[in-house]
Amino acid sequence: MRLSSGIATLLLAFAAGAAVPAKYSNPDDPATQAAAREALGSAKILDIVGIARDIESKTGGIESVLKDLGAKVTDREIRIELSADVLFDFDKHELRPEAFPSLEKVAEVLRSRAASPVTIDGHTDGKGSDAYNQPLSEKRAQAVREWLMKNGGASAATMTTKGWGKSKPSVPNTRPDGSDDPEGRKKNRRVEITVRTG
Amino acid sequence: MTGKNVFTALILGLALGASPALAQVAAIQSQDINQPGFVADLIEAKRSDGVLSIKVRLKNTGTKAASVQFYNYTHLKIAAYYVQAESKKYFVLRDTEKVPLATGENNENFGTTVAAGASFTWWAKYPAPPANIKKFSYYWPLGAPFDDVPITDK
Repeated sequence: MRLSSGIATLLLAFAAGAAVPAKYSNPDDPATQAAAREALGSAKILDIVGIARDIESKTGGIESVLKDLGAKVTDREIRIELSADVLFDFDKHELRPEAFPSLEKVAEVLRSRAASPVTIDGHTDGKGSDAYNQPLSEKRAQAVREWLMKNGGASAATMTTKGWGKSKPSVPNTRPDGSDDPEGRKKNRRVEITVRTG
Repeated sequence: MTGKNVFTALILGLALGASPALAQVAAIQSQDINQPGFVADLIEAKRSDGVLSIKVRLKNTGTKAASVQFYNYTHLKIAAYYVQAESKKYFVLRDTEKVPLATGENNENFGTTVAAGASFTWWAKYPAPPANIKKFSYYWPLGAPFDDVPITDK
């Protein structure tokens, strides 16, 4: 190679902005695109923890938790309804481990509202006698309170419990024709946690 | 080599470095940047097969050729060119040899000279944010971030 053509090559490289020949010079080239897809396996993606916390603190930090729990939020209260079928086994008032994730979320809500009064209401479905349902609903409400105190860091002073037995169904236990409605009864077996905020 | 050959090489080089053909793509967003005389157009934000492709066109609006440095060994890093969506940062993809899928990939020191009135298009490929994310912010060290950039799915 003559010296002159060497200079030309160098000039060419310089003007093209690359001192070393580029491995990928065209973004739309199929080879570049294939390399990009292959590189996805080792993609670098970082969480921005600081910003996430910042957003949480602006919304009180419980927006997503309330959403997960399906909480009803008004100016005056936050109402969370937990299915008794998730919390307890049939006829029992000891909490099932499956209940803990939901209860941890409830605890998070209570901690964010540490000074607000909380009522925990136990309800059963329409089956069985009051003599059976009343104490069961009371014990279940108490079990939830206990757990929130011991495991959730909620304040004992602000929480009160009450059992309602089958006296306050949220939906009918029977269908319009009078027959049993298992779906309705399932909805009625519940523990309601109400945080008074206003 | 004759003077004519040098001239040809220069023209060819300029054409490679600053292609006028690319200047015809419409900008998604534009801004003046910290490099005097340059205007930056974000011209592509395309999501395809999990890859987000970005193109930024730098236009030399001045009357003289001017150089622009994209990265160097000291303070300008390719890691400073990243996509932010929701609470995640997405960095330029690299192949198994750690070569970034971006302009000037082999050399972490990269700059170019752009003739007056000409443009240079810089590109990079990123892991794409999930499909439910439709907009992102693009951070880069040559100017302010491009915010609320809409993603085109392909």
